Amino acid sequence: MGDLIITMGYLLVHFAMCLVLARSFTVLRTERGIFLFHAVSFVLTTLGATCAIWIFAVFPWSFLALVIGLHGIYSLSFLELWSLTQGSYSLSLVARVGAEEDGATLPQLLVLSSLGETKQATRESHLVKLGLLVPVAPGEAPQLTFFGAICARTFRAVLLLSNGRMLNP
Amino acid sequence: MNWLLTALACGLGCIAVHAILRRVQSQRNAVVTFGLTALVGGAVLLALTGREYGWTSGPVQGALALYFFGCELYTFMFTFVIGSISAWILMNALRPGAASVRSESDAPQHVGMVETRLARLCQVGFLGKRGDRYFLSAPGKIVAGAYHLLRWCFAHDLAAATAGRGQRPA
Repeated sequence: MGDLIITMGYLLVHFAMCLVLARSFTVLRTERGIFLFHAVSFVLTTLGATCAIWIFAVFPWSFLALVIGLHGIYSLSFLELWSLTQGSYSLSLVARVGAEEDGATLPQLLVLSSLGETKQATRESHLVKLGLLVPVAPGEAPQLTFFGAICARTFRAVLLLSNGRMLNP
Repeated sequence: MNWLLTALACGLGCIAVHAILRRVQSQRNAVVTFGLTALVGGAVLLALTGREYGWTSGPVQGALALYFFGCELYTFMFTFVIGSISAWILMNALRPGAASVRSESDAPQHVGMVETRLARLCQVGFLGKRGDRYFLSAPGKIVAGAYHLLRWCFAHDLAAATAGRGQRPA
C-alpha cells in the first residue's frame, strides 16, 4: 500500500501546483505549456521509479507499472478536461444555449460556425508545424508527410475498429 | 511478470469485445459501451491476478493501473478521431483528390458542423428542442455548470482576458 500512497500523494501535489501556478504563470495557460508540465513530470517520475527499482532496489517492478498507469490516467484526464473546456465545439454550444434565458434558436447558434472556421485554420497550421502536413498554398489539396500518413492511417484504423461515425462533414 | 501479460490480454480482449458490440448494437453510445466493457474486463483482471498474487498486492495494483490507463487511452483515441477537426483534416487528406480545408465551400461545411453537433447533443440528452428553440436539459445544466467551474479552475477566462479577446464564443 506504501507504493500507492506515495504515487497518489505525488499526483495530488502536482494537481494542486497545476491549479495554483496557472493563475500566476501565463505559460501554463497555453496548450503547449500545460502539456509540457505534465509530460516532463511523467518522464521524470518514470525515470525516478526506474532508478528506485533498478539501482536502489527499494520497490518491486510493479511499482513502475503503478506509477505509469496512475500518472497516465491522471494526466490524460486532466489534459482532456483542459482541452475540452478551452475550445470544445459541443461544450461551447451547450454554454451558449445555457446563456439564453428562453433557449436558443438555430440562427443564434450558427454564429458559432465561425468557431469551426477559426479552429480549422489554426489546426491546419498546427499540423504543418507538427510536421504532419506539407505546407501548400490556400485552395490547394492538402498533402500528408510520412508521419502524417501514419497518423491518418492509425486514426482510420481506430475509427474502423470502434465503428464510429465522424462528426465533421 | 504474469500480471503484465494478463493486463495486456484483458486490454486487447476489451477492445475486441467493444468492436463486436459496436457492430451488433451500433445505436448505443460508444463511450458508455466501452466503459461497461472495460469494467467487466477490469473485474476479470482483478479476479485472475488477485487469486495469484493477493488482492491488495503490488502486482494487482500495477496491473489494474496499467489496464485502466490503456482503456482511457483507447477511449481518448476513438472520441478524438470521431470529433477532432485535426483528425478529420488528416483523414480527409488521405482521400484521393481531397479538397483543401479552406476551400470556398467552407461556410456550408461549418453550418453542417453546428447542426451535427446539436443533433448529437440532443441525442445524448444534454439539449432538448421545443419548437425551433434549443434548451438545456437537467444533465445539460450540470455539464454547463461543470464547464464554467473548470474554465475558472484552469484559468481559461484569465487567459482569454489577457489575450484581450474576452471569453471564447460560448
